[in-house]
Amino acid sequence: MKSRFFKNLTETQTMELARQTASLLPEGANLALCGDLGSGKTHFAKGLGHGLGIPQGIWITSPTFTLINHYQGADHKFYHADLYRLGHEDELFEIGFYDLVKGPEILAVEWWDQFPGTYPEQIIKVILEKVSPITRNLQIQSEHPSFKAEQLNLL
Amino acid sequence: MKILGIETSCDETAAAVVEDGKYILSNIISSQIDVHSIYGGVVPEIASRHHLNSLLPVIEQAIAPVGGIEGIDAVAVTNGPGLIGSLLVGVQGAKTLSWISGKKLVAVNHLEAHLKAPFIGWKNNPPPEYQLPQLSLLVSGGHTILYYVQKEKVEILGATRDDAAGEAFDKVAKMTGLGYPGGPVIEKYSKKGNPEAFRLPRALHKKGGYDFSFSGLKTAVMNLIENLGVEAADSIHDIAASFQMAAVDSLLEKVQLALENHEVELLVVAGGVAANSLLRGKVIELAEKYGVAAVLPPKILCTDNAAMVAAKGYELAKDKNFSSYDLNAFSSSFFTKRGGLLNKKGR
Repeated sequence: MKSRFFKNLTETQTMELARQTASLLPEGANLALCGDLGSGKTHFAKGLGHGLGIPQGIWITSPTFTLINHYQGADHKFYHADLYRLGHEDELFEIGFYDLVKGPEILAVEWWDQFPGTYPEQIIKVILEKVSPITRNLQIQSEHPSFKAEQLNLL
Repeated sequence: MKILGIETSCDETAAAVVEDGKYILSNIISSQIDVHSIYGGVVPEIASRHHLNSLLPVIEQAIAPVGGIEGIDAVAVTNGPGLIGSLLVGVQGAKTLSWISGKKLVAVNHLEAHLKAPFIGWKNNPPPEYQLPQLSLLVSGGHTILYYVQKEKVEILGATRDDAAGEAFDKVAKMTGLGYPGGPVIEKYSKKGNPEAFRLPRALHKKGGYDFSFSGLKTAVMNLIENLGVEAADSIHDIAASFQMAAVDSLLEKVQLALENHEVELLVVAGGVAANSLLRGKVIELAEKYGVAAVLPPKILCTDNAAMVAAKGYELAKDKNFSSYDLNAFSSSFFTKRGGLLNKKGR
């Protein structure tokens, strides 16, 4: 497992790391965005999406209600899912979640850590932790052999 | 013309018959809130299973007053946006019903249907007259959109950049341990609270145009609860009231900005959050200030229902905008900064 840790990030820095992460993701990568309500999971997903070439003019919004939002980027499809409202892992099958896990698209999932037994082997975990109202700690734990986490770099 | 409407996009399995897009002949909603309250949210698998169980009884009840399926002229169904599994139950049911009865099939966009809800009523309680141009705010668990509706042109002025307003109510209710659904419980607790007890952030700054944002407000409530610690429980009414006021203010600030810059005859508010009494009262005040008429649907038509689907279906059927049996459901719509709506209609 590769792990990177970034301390006391501002909103802008978190966005920058999300964009960099996007540029390093191998095809079909699956990301679990972990952290409490208000820790910045959707914010990180916005950075990922725009980093994958989704135009700035398209809002990447919370999928809590819709469960799975899909976006078409310049070269990539991007799926943004949220399992917050699910009660049991059987429901992942019901909403067609595993098709996305196996597919070639980039998949970023909020509240996947409720069902850690369903993680694929090459999961990339992004763990956000609120330090203060305006700063977050961010940890990236990657089980993906081709994700070059070491190239993430805050200037 | 009598249209049967079918709606299964989220919590509710609903069917209704509406005459000429205006008069409700039946409006049946099988609410699943009780099942979901156990889990603190909508549970999709349970939702689709309940739609399966409820759909036929709900349709039978809806068409009984018009003498069964022979009494209707077309079947309208919501095919998106919403939860794909839930939508498919309604779409498949509508297709089957259309095929066996020979009645035409009409696909309805859930969001467009909500805009029709304020203009449906009953023969003994007729709806307000449809007038243009309209400023229309759609606020629900999944959507927060401000429309400017002119003759033959619907323009999206703004939408949420992150969370929907209704989602913020649900998440704040969950954080404060008040339960589900968030709207009614927050409103109930707010009644005994001071809305000025805590200062919470309002709308996006001017550069945000007509767009909304509720993620910052949600996080601010979270920070407030953390700061209060054990005392949060004693301040639960004040937290609810302060949040509710901030959420309503955030919505109205953009509505007011739009009223300043547009010629408007009617100010319309629809969607589940339009059932909130504080919002309703403030919308009426604001409309008076700008000399426009406010239209707020009765609460039963604010939340998801099939009468609005039938009403929108009537408009489409009148223009012979029918669907074929390869009709599919779609889950999301995306909004662009310039106000374009990109979605797959699947009509």
